[in-house]
Amino acid sequence: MNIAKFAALILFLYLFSAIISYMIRITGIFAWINIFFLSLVIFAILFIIFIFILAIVYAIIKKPEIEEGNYSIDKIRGKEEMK
Amino acid sequence: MKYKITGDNLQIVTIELEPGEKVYAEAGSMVYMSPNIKMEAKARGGLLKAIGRKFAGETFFLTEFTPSGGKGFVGFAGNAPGTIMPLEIDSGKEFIVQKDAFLCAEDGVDLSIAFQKRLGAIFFGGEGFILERLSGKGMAFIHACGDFIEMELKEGESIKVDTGSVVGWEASVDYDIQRVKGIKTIFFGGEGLFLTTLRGPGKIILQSMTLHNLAMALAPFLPQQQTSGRSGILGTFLDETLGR
Repeated sequence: MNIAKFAALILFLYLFSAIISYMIRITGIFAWINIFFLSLVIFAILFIIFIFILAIVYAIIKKPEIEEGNYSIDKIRGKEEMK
Repeated sequence: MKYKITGDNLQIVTIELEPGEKVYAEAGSMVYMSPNIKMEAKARGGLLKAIGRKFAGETFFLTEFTPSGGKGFVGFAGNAPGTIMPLEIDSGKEFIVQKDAFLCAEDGVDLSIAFQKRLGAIFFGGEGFILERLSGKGMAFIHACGDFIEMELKEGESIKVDTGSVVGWEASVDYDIQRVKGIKTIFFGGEGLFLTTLRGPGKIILQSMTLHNLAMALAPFLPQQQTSGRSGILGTFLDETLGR
């Protein structure tokens, strides 16, 4: 993922939250809250929901695999060997 | 360029510079230098690159060190208990390192930002979206908390690592995440929902302790801030005078 895709993802989430906040405003509920502040609050909530859903999706996709084989510690080099 | 890494858990690297050689380092990382070293802060690579560096946890300006007259030496250290590691950067041997890991490098090494490629790795890999890329040719030195171990992974060979414990990896290494097996292990295993998986070919560097883990371990023992305490110059003066 490059910076453009990542920025697009965040912008999309914010745009979605801005639309929701606008819809809330026209209904008259929370009329005393600044629409920008409301959109930020909704964005924060949506972002947490997004991360939560993403975690579930990745928990399903990224299945744990146990790989068979012989593994020795010979290949691990600590500080002493690096010197 | 000769160098010497001294110390155990609070290491310092001293670099000997021949006439004509140059090193650059993160601003504020220099500890000592010989009197013939010329030090100059520069926004290396231009404004955009400098802004990019800021996002990668580095400083906007980097400081360049050059000897005048003859040989000179400069000592650099990190800002947390940890290890310094030399990396030989070459064409086809680029390194991706965690945010804020860069300490100093030879002039031929290019420091730029790199991005995590996978969405899952961005949010659950433990290293975040923005990383540092070391390319070009020459020696670079990285620093991170804890002790380091290094491994050379063969083609297709993999290792599972606790999220956040990867210091750096060669650009050829595949970085991904994998779910921990079993609900009981996820909730009570202490490693969380995901582990980082690194698949070769290439060299990887892991750390024994992350700065976050160190901070969490120390947090219960830190004194609480007193809201009624004195602050500012006068407060410091009074504290010093009264011996508190």
